[in-house]
Amino acid sequence: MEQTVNHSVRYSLLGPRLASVTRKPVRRPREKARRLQAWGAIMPLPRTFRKRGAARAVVVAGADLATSGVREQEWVRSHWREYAGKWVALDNSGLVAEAANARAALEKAKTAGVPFPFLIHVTEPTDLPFGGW
Amino acid sequence: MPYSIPFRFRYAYKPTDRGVNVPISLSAGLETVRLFASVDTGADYCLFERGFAEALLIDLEQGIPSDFATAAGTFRAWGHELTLAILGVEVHAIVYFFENPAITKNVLGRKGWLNRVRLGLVDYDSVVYLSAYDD
Repeated sequence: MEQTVNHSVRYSLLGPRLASVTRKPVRRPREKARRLQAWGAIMPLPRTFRKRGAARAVVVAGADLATSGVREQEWVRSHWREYAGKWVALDNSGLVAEAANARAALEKAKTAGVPFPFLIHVTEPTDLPFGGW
Repeated sequence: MPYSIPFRFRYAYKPTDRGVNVPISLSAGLETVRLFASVDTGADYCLFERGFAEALLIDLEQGIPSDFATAAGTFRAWGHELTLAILGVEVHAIVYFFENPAITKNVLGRKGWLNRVRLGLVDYDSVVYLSAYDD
């Protein structure tokens, strides 16, 4: 004799399930996610969004110093153990100079032909979340 | 009703970083340094490590002394007028440097920066948008 099995699932709108449903973030469509830039990219937006006549107090600078700093941040993540407590001067290619203080690191970098390096005071990263001020 | 705000620059920060870190430059006189600073809407002013003042050849104690309150206590910092360039937007403002060299935070706060720009932040996408205030 053939038996019929009914599959049914009951959901309660009370308790932790409801909480997990309501807290689930809304996912963006894949198309939109693919259009986002990789981190570190500085993207000027289309000219159609711009207006002429910037304020005197706020001037839009050239992009010469507005570099992303991606490689420099990666370098610090990879080398902090070797330079913890020191100041390092970095550019795209990596370490330019190191010193006990920022001014000395900058001077060394200038001597090495890098006038505007990223200056970073290398510290040991913490696993604790930052609680703000 | 949706609101639309135009921005000139967009920067994708690394989502795993602590905070919203952006590359900036500080200039005083003929000296310029580049560093990373965190966008901090909870900070009243822009605050930087003491070492950056020394790199810019700024005599720290000749500036404006100010005590700041935090959730965990107070600290002293010294204000100096200089130029900040963040993602291509440049402002002239009074920023503060920590007196204590052991403090290693660098933050972009409201007065001197946030109140001069338009800032958009979509942390879900790890993206900041920036324009001069009336650009």
